[in-house]
Amino acid sequence: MKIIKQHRSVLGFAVIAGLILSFSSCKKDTDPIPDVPVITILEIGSGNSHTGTAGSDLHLEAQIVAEAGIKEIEIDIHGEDGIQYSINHKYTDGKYIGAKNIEFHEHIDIPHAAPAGSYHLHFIVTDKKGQRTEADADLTINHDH
Amino acid sequence: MKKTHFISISMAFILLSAIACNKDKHPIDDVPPTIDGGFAGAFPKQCGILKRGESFTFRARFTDNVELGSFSLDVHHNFDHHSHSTELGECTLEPVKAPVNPFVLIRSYDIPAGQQSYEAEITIPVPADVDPGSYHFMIMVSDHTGWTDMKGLSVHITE
Repeated sequence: MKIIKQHRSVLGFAVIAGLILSFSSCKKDTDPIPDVPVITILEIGSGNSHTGTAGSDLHLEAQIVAEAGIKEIEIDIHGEDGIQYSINHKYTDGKYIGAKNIEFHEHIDIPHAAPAGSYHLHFIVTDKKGQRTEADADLTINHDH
Repeated sequence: MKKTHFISISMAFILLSAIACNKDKHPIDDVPPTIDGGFAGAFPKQCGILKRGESFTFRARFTDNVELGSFSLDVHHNFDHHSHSTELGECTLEPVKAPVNPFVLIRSYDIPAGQQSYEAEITIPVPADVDPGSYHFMIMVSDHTGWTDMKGLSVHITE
């Protein structure tokens, strides 16, 4: 009788431990935290020259992986060294939105009014969980004479 | 007798909790879909010709391990000789030129629900007044979770 009682208490402990373990492992598996978006800039300007021309378009190419799905892509170009000029494009609908892996390929108009000089380009991706990743690069804008 | 009952009930409880746990788990689909543009009826193919003032029929096969979502087409000029990471290589390139009235097509299409395999067939007219020359023909397919595959082709629009 004593042996049975001992066995019962060990078994009881095993059952409770097993239940706790199975529930805790369940929680982990059903609610994984997706990785933050990853941006790999491939080309800025034709031939990755990091150069654009005012009055023309700027070729942009990047690979984006966002496990939670892409919610928004923002391209922000702003002047450096005293140039007070900026270009901003936001993509909130279309083929990229909702996708998890894309080749971002766009040609962004650079207006004639953009002064020649040094600029900085920011590539900002927000996923559907609100996680945000930013990549940046230098850009020179020229004028054709 | 009592001990046997206790063991059976305990085992049943553990088994049930394990089954319930399995039910809650959604297998993570991390496999992107694929585009097949290599079969005999696929169009266009690399370096294919599209004629101005005529229609062509786009044809490709998409497959996914679970369920397809949608596909999109993006046709744009390559008069500036730009590149894509998914590009298969250029055909005979013409000299760089400025676009006047380039052909542009950016359109998305839904794939009926529940399909693991789908053959797309879309008739696309090419207006008679668009600029002839080198174009990029980008095909993108998404599965139901948002994984995508992209295929880039170089094509020519001629008279």
